[in-house]
Amino acid sequence: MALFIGIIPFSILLWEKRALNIKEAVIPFIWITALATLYEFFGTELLHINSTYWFQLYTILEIGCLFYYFHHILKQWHQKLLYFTLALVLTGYVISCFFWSTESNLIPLAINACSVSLFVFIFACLHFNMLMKKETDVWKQPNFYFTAGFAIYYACTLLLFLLSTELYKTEHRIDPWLINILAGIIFRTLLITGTWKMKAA
Amino acid sequence: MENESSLAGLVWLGTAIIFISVLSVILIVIIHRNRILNIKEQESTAKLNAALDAEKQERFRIASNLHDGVSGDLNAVRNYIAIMSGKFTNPDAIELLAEMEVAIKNAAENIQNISYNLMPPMLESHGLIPTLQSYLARIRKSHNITITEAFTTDPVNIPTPDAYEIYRILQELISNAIEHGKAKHLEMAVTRFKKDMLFMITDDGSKFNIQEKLQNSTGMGLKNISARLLKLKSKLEHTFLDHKNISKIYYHVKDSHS
Repeated sequence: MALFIGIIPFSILLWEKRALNIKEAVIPFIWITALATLYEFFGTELLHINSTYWFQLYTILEIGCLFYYFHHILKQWHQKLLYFTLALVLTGYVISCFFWSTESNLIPLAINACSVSLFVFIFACLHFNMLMKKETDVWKQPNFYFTAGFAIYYACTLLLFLLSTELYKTEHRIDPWLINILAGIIFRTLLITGTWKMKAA
Repeated sequence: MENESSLAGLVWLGTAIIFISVLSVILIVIIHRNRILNIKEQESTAKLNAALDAEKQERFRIASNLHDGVSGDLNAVRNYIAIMSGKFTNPDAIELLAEMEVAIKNAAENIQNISYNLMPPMLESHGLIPTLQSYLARIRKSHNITITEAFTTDPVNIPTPDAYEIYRILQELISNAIEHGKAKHLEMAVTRFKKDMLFMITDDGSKFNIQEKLQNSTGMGLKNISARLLKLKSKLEHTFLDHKNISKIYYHVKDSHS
């Protein structure tokens, strides 16, 4: 279920004929979420293709989409900080590539989780700060749901991905991954809600 | 084994703490925004009430000046003309004076109407229903329109400030129906509806979507209706049925006898 609800935001956009409207900051992220859902179902579940390639590729796409999102919603504020943080995240990504192998991508996952989560926390806080100063109802702002979703997902999965290498060695390799599933459900639900609000706005 | 359980437990606990922290931040944002919005709404309501009170005071002042000043002076002029008519024997002069008297009488009546429309004196002394009846009688005289009335016989305990706002809303709606809707027939009904007073206007004028007009109009009349409804905490429903515009205002009577 957690996998397939990733396709719903994209379906809403297709229905509203807004899937190609990149003026909306979150559209690229919705695209890669739908892409990830399809790849994980067809590629990983059905065809059993090695997922290490996909996860490394997905990370760079994710970085790009998150940068695009925050770049658009924060507009002229904090642009220097945005570019500086992007440089740090990309540096982290390049370092993670040196630890990548076809057998395991847990170390690159941990490195990227650190940098991407930091990126998301900083700019989510700045966005919330911006929302507090605006004279609008946050419940009617689609971007509020998206930012909240990003913050919750990356916060909840940070510890999991950081300790993934150690967890994989234990008998409890499966249970903590429930965190990823639950966080994914919450995140995708907020993504769906925000996309629905975009429709209404 | 124990270490493995501790690690899994640590991950769950740490994640729960982080999740609660992030959730707290989000809740702070929501609560802060709601507080700001409430304060803004209260400020807006206070400004609105101040504007409506200022308008009421100004109307009262102008109505008083017209009635006491201009109207009085015109009556004095009429008296002088009457005295002068008795002193002239020239038929042309007498006819001219008679025309002057008629013109001044008409002007005095117009001034009285304007003064009455600005601030109906009966509202405080007689209450809302008699004021509405008087207003409808004047509308019949001045416009080519038939008006039917149906007023409740139950006592209507509406405080004068609220009665004034309701009167203004009904006046604006009737005025719109006649001037913009070109209505030829109008029905005015005031009845009890559960714990509310229901003021209903039905007219046969052209279709009027008041909700759309209230949101999009730049005119002061409709904006004032919105403002007054907000002040009264009343609601206005409008439908178009069987080629008739039906406007209903529900006013919650605070000290209802029901």
